[in-house]
Amino acid sequence: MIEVLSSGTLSTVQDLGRLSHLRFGVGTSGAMDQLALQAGNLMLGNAATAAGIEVPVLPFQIRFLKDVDFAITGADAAAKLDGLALAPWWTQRARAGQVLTLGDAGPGFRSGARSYLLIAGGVDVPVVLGSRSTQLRGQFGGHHGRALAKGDVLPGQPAQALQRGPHAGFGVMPADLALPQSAFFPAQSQTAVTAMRVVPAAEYDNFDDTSLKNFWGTDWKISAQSDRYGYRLSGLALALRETLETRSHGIVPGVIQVPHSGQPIIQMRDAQPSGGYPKIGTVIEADLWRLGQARAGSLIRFVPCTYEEAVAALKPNEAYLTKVRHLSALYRQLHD
Amino acid sequence: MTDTRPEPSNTITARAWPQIAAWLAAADVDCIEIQTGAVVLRMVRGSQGYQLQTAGASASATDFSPASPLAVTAHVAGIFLTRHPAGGGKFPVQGDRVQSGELLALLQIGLVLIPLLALVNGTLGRCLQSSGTQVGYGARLIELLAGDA
Amino acid sequence: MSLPTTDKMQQPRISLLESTALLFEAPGDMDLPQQRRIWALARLANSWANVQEAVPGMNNLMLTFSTPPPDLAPLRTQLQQAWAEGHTVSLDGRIFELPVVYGGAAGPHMADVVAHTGLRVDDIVRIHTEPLYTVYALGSHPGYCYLGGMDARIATPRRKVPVVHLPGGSVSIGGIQSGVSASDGPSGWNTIGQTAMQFFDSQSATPALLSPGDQIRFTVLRIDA
Repeated sequence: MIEVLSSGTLSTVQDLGRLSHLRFGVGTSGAMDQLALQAGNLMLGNAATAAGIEVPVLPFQIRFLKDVDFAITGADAAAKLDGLALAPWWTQRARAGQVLTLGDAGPGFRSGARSYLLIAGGVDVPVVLGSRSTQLRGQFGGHHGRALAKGDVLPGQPAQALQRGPHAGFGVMPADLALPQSAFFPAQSQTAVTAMRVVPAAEYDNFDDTSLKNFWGTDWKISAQSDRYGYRLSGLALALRETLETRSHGIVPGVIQVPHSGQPIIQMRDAQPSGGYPKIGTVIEADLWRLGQARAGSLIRFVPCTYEEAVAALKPNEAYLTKVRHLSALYRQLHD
Repeated sequence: MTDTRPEPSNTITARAWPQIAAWLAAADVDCIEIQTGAVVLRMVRGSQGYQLQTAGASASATDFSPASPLAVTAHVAGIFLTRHPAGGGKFPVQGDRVQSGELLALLQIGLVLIPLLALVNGTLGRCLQSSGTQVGYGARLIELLAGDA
Repeated sequence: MSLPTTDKMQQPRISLLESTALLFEAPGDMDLPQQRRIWALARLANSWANVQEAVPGMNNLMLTFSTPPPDLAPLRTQLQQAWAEGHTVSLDGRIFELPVVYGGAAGPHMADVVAHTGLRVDDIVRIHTEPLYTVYALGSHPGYCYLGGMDARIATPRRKVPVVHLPGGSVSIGGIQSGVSASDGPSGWNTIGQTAMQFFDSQSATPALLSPGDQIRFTVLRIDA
């Protein structure tokens, strides 16, 4: 269905992840920006959980081998279908042989860290342990358990009869325009500051007062050593009142560990499903998609959040996706 | 393709309207105007739910003589936008040569952004509405002087 | 034992990983009887509403939520009550023998264990191979087993700077725990040897070779300088 034309990509096939095999040491994996993945699927009439391609590095180029509807969401990429420029967060019909290029967006586009390419029917790689996400450490899932390489051909669903009539495509409001941040922090030296709500974790009280003040009150820079495994932050060192040797325990994406260096690491989708470092807090799930789009070099400010607030924070995200699903279905009904 | 409106053969049956109303309610959209068959229909949210109204007969066939500019018209009611909300690359402006099928502007209904495409190859003329204006079905939006010269 | 642990709690501690999961930590020293109670608690919790998966750790249990319960109090009570009832799971796992090449290129951090413990390599190997280790839990990466039963005399703190790449089959010491990696990858533990073994098959319905309750005996294939 899709032939990869770019070499050296870090792109991987992802869905919403493997949620029920943590007890075997299998981390969740899954899209770093789950809202973008789901929105793209819903625009196409897919189940929200269908697999797509996460593209963290541009440019990225593919060729469609069959007629198929596709969508591009996430970070703005200057997308072109055989030279025809596409707007951000857009779905369009491709004909067999057409080449899709996601290019470096350049000035004028908002920055983000990952784009998503979705196709009608989903990327149909085999389901392994309940998910199509790529498990890089275990080398299974997704497309042969690895990043995509030039020449790879990704399967899609058997060609569904595309609707009659010309299909001009349509777009949806990007998530970051439709959903305001929980708090606003002005940019520092033209560097964006993203608010991240955090619920304190078990070892929170083991950190000294200065550290806690700095954790909430200062900006944290996402270092260049940040990826799907974890975001290494740089800022003022966080110190424990006394050395702790915690026992290995289960963790989830969003957990903020503080190793000996005192520089926090936010565990992301490909992190180990268990860890033993002290944890100061956990970024709430409702904000993880923003983190997935926060670039290396940008800044984070942590915002205190309770369990109840974390649960409530999921609702606006769900409401956004529900609207995308219904309006997309309506548009297809009227125009296909 | 010579018309921006959907194919006239795409009529909506009576059974579809409750479903459409449900989608509109779920998407929190107050009003939508669409053409079905030869008639333009409007669904408007009231206190009791959505009401179905006729909004007038469909626009007559456009005069395609090369000398007179065509107009890109609204085929649904929505907010006319000459720039994508995300910013980024600009749409073509007055004086630009455009190709048939090229994206010229957008109509926004709730969260959805609907493309307004060039009908034919030609040169863009004046923009007849301000960006951000709520426009109704059939509103003339952008002039387009047909021709490859 | 020179390593301070988390507070010697008298009561289990329940904490949150925001709204995605809950962490239950058993009090007291880390040992096998406590772990068998954790396994029993995991079995019970897997059937509770709102629980997506029960994930045992080292004398602790993480419960991921299918949907986060609006009120956590009932679940907290349920957990504490179930724990207090003292259910336990009996040990009837299989025993696996793992031949290990210790030291040399296979054990790049043996020198750090020597430096920390003051013991010679031969003694470290003897102490490491003596016990029958119990698989407490799986975690870290697919098929990786957290083992209990290591002699505290060879405990060595986790490395300040993790190593970027170690081969699958690396036998390591991290704090008071020992483990064997199941695939290539980074590690913050001290690698003292190497073993050859397939720990994980993603195509199988039970993808991990070892389960909590199984036991491992390390044997000496050879000791390299």
